[in-house]
Amino acid sequence: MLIAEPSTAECLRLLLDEQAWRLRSLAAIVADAARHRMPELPPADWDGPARAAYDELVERVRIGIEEARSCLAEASAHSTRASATLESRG
Amino acid sequence: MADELVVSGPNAVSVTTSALLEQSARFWLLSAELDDYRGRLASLNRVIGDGILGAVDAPRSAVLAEAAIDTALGALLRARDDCRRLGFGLRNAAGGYEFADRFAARMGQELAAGLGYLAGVAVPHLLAMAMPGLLVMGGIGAAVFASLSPEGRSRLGSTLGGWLRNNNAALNDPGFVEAVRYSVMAADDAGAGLGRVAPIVGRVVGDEGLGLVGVDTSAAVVAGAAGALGLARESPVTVAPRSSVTGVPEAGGVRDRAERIPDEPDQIRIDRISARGGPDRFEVYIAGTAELSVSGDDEPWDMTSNLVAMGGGSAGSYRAVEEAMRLAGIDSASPVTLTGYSQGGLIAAQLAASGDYAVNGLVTLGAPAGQVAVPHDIPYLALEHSNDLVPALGGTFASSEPVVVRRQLFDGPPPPGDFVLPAHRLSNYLETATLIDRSSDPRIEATLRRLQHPAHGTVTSTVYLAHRVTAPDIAP
Repeated sequence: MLIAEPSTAECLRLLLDEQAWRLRSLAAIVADAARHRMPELPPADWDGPARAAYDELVERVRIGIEEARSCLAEASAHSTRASATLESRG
Repeated sequence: MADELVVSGPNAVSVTTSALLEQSARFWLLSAELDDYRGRLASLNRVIGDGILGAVDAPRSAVLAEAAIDTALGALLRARDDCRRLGFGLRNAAGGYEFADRFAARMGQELAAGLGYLAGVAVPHLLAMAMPGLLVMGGIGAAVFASLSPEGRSRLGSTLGGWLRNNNAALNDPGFVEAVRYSVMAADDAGAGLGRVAPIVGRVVGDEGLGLVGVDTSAAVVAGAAGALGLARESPVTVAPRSSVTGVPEAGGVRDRAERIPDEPDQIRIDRISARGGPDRFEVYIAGTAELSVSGDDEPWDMTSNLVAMGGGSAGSYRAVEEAMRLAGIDSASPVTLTGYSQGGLIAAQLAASGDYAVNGLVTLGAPAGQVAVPHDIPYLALEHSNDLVPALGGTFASSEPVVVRRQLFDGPPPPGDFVLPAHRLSNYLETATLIDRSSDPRIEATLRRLQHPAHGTVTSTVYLAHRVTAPDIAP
């Protein structure tokens, strides 16, 4: 029995499935980092300009990590949708 | 009650640099993790390229997925860079605060020395002016005290103690404690002023200079004066083992060691650790002051020992520990780790400084041992509550380089009125010891590693009790 080689479209669909799964797990890891790896609040008696700069940078880190997580989740959803579209085309 | 620890070298720091360094380390770790995620995402991004997307007329969502991955890569890069900035910044901030505080401490000591000298010069004049009034007041006070019955005097003592306990907030204020530390350090300068020694000579020989005179000189003068009045006189001591038990676990950290400091009436505990393939090791635990009097008792852990030890003399408690160590089989080659609380910490530091023992670790809790010249190669951890008056009486760490861990108690409600100096209680130091064991500060971790021994063995723990040999004991 001859086994037909998968078409390019089928290859892309398989790759998109794999990508969606990997992106989903990476999004979960990044979310976990945001929850558990971010340092706790600094000492309460530390204030002044250095403390203000610290707070600003920490907020930027939080925003950056959240943006990365959200984009990863979004990319995963797009990949799943693209795979489904390719499958529906037969 | 704050759980924050301030870690420093011999000089105090007033911001929580330990916490800043810990934060710095955590941001470095997070930046490494974000870098790893970014690398994994970049690899994933290379699998589906523009070629394959164009070849099959890929759906729009596949292109949107690629765009979202690019945005995620950019966000991870920015977050990683910000984490690195935070890691750098926090480390530099901690170093800067330490430098500034060391500078402020040095300036404070210089200022206190100058004021002390001026006070020494002015005291004779002030005394001359105030003498008539002082004599009248003193005479009235002495007459009233003399007229009291023994019960009345006892009542007066307990009333005074009760008043101090109920009004102990000032005694437990970190500012007051720091002022006492500087005053103690300035006592030799006041003596120089009193003796009309040229200021520059006083500074050169004092603890701001060569350190030929300092807190120990002042304490020796006080001990000498008390001795002249028939008080604070040293005596021989006897030591005997009270109980011994084998098979106890080895001390694992600072809390373990602090818990092994004996309770009254015992003063010394010595753990002998016998392991195969090496000499026996010893852990010596020394208790704090048990008796607040300077005369008449057979307790060597008294104020006489405190005064004599701080003056650099041979205190009864010091000789008692030496004798207990001899009885335990400790010689000049036996590896010994010393742990002491309050007066016990002072004695432990002096034993380490004596050069008579192979001391491989020293832990002091609330000890007035600032002036003891402990060799710098001995791992030395000094715990102090910044509102504990007792360690401040030893001045600053001018001749040794311990890792000083400070913690402030009672930074919220006022201290409880059960004790005059609640910040000096061993129970509070036990809590601080727990925090130290949990700390990830690199200086604490490095010192704790040096206090630990890889080879485990059987532990035999012996408790010793010492007594002063009083005059009737000596008389035939």
